[in-house]
Amino acid sequence: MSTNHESSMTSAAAPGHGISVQDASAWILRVGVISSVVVMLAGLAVSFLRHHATIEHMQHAAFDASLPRLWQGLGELRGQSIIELGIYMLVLTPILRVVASMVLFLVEEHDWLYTTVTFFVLVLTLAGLLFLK
Amino acid sequence: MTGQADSLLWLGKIVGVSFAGGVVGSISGLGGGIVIVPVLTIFLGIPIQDAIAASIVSVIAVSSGAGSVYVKDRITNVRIAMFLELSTAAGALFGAAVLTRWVNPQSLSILFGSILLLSLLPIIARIGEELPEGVHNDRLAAYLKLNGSYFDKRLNREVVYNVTGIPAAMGLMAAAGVISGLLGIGAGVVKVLAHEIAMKVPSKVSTATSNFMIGVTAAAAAGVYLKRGLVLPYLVVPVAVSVLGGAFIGTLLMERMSNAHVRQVFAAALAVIGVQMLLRGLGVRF
Repeated sequence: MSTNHESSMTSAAAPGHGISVQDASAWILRVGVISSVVVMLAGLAVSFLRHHATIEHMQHAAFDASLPRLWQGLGELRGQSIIELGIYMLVLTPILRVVASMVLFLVEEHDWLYTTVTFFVLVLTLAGLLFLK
Repeated sequence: MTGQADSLLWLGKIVGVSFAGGVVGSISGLGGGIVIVPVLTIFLGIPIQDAIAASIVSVIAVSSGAGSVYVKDRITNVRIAMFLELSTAAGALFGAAVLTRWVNPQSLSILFGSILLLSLLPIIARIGEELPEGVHNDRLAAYLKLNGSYFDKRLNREVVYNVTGIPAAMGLMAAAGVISGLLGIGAGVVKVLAHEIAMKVPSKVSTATSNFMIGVTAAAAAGVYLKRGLVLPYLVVPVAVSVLGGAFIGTLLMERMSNAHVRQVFAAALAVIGVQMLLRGLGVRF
């Protein structure tokens, strides 16, 4: 009948035939949120325990979007860098869900219209991080 | 150390306030940000720009957390979400990248508060109506294959629905996107209204589908805020995690409520928030 809900976006997965859409979406959301929260809280804990973060620092430290500096900070086990990683992970979670939808529109539904629609949504969503200043 | 005690107290306040916001935001479908920003600014004295940036990230957490429950129950309409998101995400980029540099948030606060209070009227009129009746797919909706169905736990049957009013919905979604990007809120209220009033989709579908959209739109806006260094990591973590906790609880409650109850909570939240926004915009401090 209607094919809009993730349950019917693809016929129920035959045994061993790959996961259905709603399973993929639920998994992405759950894993994305839980892992990003764990990382963020870990970063906060490290900041408290290792660096004894003060209230002044916490109220003013700004997010540094530079990836090289993030990588370096992670290597040094810097609390704030760990937090920033967690934030990146959280922001990417809905984006990954859009990617999954796009792939499934293409591969399962063979719906070119919606593959394209979803692709443009992806471009728009990533524009802030990648293209704009 | 006093330094540590101060820090923990600060965190504690943020956690408490954000948790409450999460519960209300989740049940009413508003996404949390709309409660978080006013409360953080007014009660905790956090600069509005910081509150907005923290809020937009926490909105992603709320939307994703609540969404993982909706997905399992197969209520989200993915085609509606993606098609409308074209308009919403574009609006969000505009709001976050362009407008934040030019517009006074107070003016928008007034405008938004007014719209919220005005939009209470149609919602109140339809409170108690379990499912929309007499809705036919308009041609655009049929072409875009947007109609759908879901299994309603309360009614204990499969509900089939049609969709109409796509152009109006797209317009509303663009506005929702701009508001999202500019004020750091999920603008779930506008999105749910677009679903319910413009497209005449059942409440549960509108809430679930809006939830999907809220996360994507917030991610688009958040990208801009992150890139510009406007996000405070130590504020975002307690806010986002607490709002998420509250939202999780709220979602569990919502799944058991009828469509009419969903709307009632929605209307009550709208009233409180509309008044809050108006007062803030007008410069009333309390």
